[in-house]
Amino acid sequence: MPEALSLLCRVPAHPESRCWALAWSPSGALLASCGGDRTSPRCPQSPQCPQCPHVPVSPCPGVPMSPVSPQVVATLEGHENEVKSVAWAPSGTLLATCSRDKSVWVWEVDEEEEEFECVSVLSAHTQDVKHVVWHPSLQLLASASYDDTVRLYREDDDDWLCCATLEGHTSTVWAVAWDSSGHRLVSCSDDRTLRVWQRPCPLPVTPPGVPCPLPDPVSPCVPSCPRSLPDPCPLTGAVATACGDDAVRVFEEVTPASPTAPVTFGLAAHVARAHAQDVNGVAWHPREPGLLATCGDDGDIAFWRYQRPEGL
Amino acid sequence: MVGAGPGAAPLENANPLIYRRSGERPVTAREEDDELPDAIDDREIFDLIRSINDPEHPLTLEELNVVEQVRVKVNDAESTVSVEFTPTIPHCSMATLIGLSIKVKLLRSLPDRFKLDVHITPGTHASEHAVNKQLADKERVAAALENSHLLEVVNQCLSARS
Amino acid sequence: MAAAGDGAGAEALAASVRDFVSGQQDGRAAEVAAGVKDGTWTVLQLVEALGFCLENTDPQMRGRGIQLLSQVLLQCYSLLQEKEVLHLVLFYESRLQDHHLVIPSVLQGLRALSMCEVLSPGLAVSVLKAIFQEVHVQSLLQLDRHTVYSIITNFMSTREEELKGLGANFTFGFIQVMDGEKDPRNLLVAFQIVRDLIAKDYDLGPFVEELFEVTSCYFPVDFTPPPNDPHGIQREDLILSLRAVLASTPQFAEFLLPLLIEKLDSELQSAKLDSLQTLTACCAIYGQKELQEFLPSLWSSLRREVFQTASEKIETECLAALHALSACLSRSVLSSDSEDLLDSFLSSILQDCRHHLCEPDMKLVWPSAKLLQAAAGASLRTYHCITHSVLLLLLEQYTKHTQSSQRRTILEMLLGFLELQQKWGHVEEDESVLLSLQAPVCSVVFSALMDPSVQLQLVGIKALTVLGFLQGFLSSSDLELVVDHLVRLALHEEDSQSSEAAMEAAASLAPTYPKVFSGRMVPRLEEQLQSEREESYHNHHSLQQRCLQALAAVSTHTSIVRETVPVLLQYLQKVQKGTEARNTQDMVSVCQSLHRVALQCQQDADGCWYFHQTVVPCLLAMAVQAAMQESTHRLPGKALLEEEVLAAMIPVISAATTHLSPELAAQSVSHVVPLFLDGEVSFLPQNSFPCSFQPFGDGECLEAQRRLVALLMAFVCSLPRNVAIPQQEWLLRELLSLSCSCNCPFTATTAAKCFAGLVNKHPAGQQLDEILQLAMNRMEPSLVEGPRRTQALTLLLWVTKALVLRYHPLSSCLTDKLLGLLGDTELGPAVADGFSLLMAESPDVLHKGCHADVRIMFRQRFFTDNVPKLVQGFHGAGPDVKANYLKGLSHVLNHLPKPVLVSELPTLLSLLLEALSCSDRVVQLSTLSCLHPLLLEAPQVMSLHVDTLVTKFLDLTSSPTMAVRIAALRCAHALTSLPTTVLLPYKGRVIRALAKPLDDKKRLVRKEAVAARGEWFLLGSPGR
Repeated sequence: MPEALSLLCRVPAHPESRCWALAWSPSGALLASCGGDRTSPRCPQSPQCPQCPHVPVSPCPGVPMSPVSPQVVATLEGHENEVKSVAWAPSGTLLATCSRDKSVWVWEVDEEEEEFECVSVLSAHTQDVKHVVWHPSLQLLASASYDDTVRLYREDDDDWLCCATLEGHTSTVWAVAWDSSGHRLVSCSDDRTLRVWQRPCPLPVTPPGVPCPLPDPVSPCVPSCPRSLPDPCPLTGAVATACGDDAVRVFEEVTPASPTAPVTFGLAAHVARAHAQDVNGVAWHPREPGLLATCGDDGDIAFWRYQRPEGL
Repeated sequence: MVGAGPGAAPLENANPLIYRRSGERPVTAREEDDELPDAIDDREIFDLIRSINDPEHPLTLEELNVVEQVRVKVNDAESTVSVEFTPTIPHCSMATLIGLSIKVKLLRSLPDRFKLDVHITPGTHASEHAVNKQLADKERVAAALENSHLLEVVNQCLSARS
Repeated sequence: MAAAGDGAGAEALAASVRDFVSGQQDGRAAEVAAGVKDGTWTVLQLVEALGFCLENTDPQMRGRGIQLLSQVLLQCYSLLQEKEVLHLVLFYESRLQDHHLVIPSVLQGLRALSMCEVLSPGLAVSVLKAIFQEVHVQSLLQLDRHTVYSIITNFMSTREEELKGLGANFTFGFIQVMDGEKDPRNLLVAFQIVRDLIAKDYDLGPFVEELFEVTSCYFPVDFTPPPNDPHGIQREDLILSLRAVLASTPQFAEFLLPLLIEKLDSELQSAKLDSLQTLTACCAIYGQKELQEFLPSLWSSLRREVFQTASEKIETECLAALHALSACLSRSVLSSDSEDLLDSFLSSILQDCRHHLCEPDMKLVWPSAKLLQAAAGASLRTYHCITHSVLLLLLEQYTKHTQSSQRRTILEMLLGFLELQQKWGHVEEDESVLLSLQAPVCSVVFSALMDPSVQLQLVGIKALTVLGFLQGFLSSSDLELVVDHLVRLALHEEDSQSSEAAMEAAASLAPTYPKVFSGRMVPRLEEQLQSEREESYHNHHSLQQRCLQALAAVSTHTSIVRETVPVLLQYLQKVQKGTEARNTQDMVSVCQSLHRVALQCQQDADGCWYFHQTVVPCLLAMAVQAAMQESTHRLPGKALLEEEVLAAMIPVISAATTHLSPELAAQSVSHVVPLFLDGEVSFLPQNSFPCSFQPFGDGECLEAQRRLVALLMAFVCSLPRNVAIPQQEWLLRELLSLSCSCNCPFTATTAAKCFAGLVNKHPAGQQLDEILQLAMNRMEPSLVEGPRRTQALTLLLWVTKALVLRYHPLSSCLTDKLLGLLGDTELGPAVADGFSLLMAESPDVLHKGCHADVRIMFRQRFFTDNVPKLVQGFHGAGPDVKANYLKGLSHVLNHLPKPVLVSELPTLLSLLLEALSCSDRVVQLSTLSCLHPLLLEAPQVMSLHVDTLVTKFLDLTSSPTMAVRIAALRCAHALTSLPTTVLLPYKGRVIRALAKPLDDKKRLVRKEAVAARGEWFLLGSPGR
């Protein structure tokens, strides 16, 4: 497997701090990163990645995962503690946020007025909400929490309600992601497993989910952000994870022996010392298959080329 | 993450057991040799945390037996450190704060390569699981240190006693 | 004298007055005053001249007129007649009702009049009454209020009786004057007035509480002097001044004590401290009556603070206050026949603290013991009362608790109470609680000595010493037991701490019980020392070492010294005859023991002479014997002649010589010098030698004999300065030639040191000049070239040192020679190191202890004379020798007293910063150790260079040399004492850079990195 994931280049994006998270722009032309160096000046030049010169890396301190925006058009106030995650609905008319204050907020966007109106405060979780993500086509929202659960929300008569609670993880769920079809949801947890959940019945595909144990017993899997990608294009359905043991791993669905056999996932790539410290974020390039960006506490952003190993 | 500091409220455990401090680690001839490397060992980690002040008593964690050398495990080659701490009473509301102080002290004092595991000695605290989970969540630890009141209490625990 | 009608004078006066009043020319006041002083006009004339404006309707005009009059009066008040004063007083009093613009000048005038000696009786009272009635003092400006206080102070110091005639009205008037005062300058004066009111027994009448209120409202003082305060009033001045008022009279007690109790409960540490110190001050003058009502609350506050505080300072002050309270109650016990407050106070202390003594593991055990000890230390009576109750309890608890750590705590507390007994000296038998507990106390202490825990043993040994000092406490059988225990611990206890403590206990008890120690301890040690090996070699050896140390330790009384010295010398001879491999170490150990004995004998003339007479000839004889054997038989080198052993003998001979009286020293020198110059051996104890002793003779076979110059040096360089040395010039020439010609570095260096030691003490004059000239002639050619450059340099360094110390004029010439040699590629580095030799205290010669001529501040002088040259030399030097100058400089700076260093800092700092970039690690190290104290003591100056300092220190943390890394990290740590605002821009960078040494391969480096980085994290962070 050593060749499954090969390093393209490494950029010291936040040399004086750590890098918490990454996001590609829809075109794949820009990569945004957020770091702990809120007091440092914004990086004036965009360091070029030698392997993919069309991708400038632009660290935008304090602006997590939002497209690079030249100015603040609105400030959304309401959460009592720090906001952990924010996500645009595919329609572009809704925005979701979540916070350590245990709540998930859904905002409606008035594009002309550039105004944001809170349409619902969802307090289903009993602990910090770590991550929110929208279904790729439906108005369906998923959230992951310190209370070990994943919850799904949908609109109902002008209000939003929690329509499902996915239980099974035994510790904090750090992040969730949908595959491109929206049939599957993958979650990663501090219990050192990933679980893949299948719609429409919000139950684990293979009860109790696909055990993908992270073999290293040392360290909890800190923000381990899996991403599943569109199926029809050459972009694969591979799930990458960032982990507190300094490693980056990629999991793929194993070709079933027979059509009726249960779905299973296997470890396709593993780079043990991908970063010098904890890995915090992973992001697949939206257009270029197998191009993966990762970031970590060492402040670096690394770019990788992924090739599905044969015989998986 | 934790409630208000000790303030003027009565102490939870007004008359705790006290333990003697171990002396300074004697310097060996080997340590004075310029060439020979000294591995980071349990005692060295213990020396980092034993003099942390308790948030509510004018005593160190060592004097209160909250930390003991036998509950410190380090593996220098694999860059791992594990510390168990024992709150003085099973309902001690300061447990998280003590754990946070230990964690912060180690974060500031150990090379980046180390993975730290700070947790309560099993079976010695009513909210053991909750406290351990908090201490293991690096986002929560980072958020706690953004809170200036908490940072103040932690810094006081880590300051040399006047 | 100018007549009143002198027209010209009157006109001039009128002109001056006009200029001052209408022309606003302030300078005229001085002229007018001068006129009064020299009699050109009188004050009366001035008043007349002022007439027009004193009655003017414009208040400004009137004010200006009165201002002139007052200014003149302030200069001339001593010239006034009684009658003039009367009129002026009446005038000014009437003006007190005038417009507010006028009042300041009126007060100035009254102040001038208050200083008049001829003030008629009654006027002072009248002025004060007028002020009290007419002036609302607190609406005046600070300066004018100050004037009022001055008037009152002046009257109080000269018209005390008159003012007292006012009765309580005066007190009341003053209370109104100072009520609401805010200015610290005025408060200091006002507090002094209140103190005088009380101390001089003015009638306070019904206004005691008001007077208390008007002062106590400032308690606790909360005042921070403004930056650049020109008045220099510190918070502490106000605190002390107010405390003197509050604690000045028992009349305030009923108001003050509740206030103190309230402030003790405050959250503010400074308020607590002030309250405690004030309480302690009050106890000096209070009696039972004042305290009675408040004792329970005072006790509960003190107890709470001691039980809970984290501050040692508060604890100390609480204990002091409790001590003072107990002492105060003890004092008044005798005079009171009603209820005995002391007993009930002490019983409440006992009730609250006693039971905690039974919990030796708990936190409150020590605070309780300290409280009890503070009370017990107040008087003999409190001591009896408390120890009566506590000692027996502690003895019981000791038996009840079996863990060593618990027993240690209990015994430490017991020890605290035993030590208090010493304070009261010898106590009558029937009164001493302690005597009745003699048996159980001894048994507890002895059991501690037998305990396996070293910590408990140590406390036991300390207790033993305390018991030994209690006269008549230990019976003779106990004493024998004590000695047996000490011998056992000293020789056989595995832990060296216990063994050393036992030896020290023997050392301190031996002078009190010399017979028991010389009769029981010394024979046991001797027997052990002489015994043949039975166990393993290692055990036997370490036992011998312990015996040697114990013999030295116990030699603290002349009668014991006479027993131990022969034992030690005998053992030395035995070792010399032996052939074992450890001979050298054994001989060094004996010498170390002899050295300790010598030091202990120094203060006793008899003992000192006995030691000198016995030891010095014996050591010389053994050395000569050994040297001769080597010369004649070519035997393999005797251990006795090894450098290490000779070096160990030097301090013995030196310590045996420095304290000799001049007569006895002269007697000794008349033997020793001929021994070396003439081979005169007759005074040595064993003096039949196979050949003659010629240490200064030529020939290779005499090499061993020449080494004994070290012993000669130890002796002659330690003699008092007024002891004449026979054949000194001859001796100097021999030493000089030996130092220049000998190939053995040890011998050459020793000869040079001996020469330098003698030259330093040699009286100034032609003889000295000649010998120095001779030395220069010998040195100079050798320094230039040839095989003996190093020897010549060593001689130059030592002679320079000898002359620098005594401010000899030739010293600058020699120093210049050294400075020149810094540029020498071969000798330069050694010269640079030599600067350390010049500045440092040398252990064996040329120090104060051996009577050398050492002028105070010779280092500063050397610094002033030579540092500019070093700096200049550095700038002019080639790259290969530049480091030599830096090294020399850093040696000089390293030995300079810190205050001098700090004051010279600005001129040197840039060079020191340059030295940090020097690749020589000795330079790096000494520069870092030079900068370290500067960072702590001159943070303002250093902060100008923070950028360079941060960069260089961080660079040096990756030096290949561990010591440099450690020193650089210490400096990086010390940087945190610079002002925080200067450092904050570097915080992130330093913290990141210090992450690397956290992973250093050396533990000692990591330790420093942890300390430094931790401190940087705290910078500018809350809770620091």
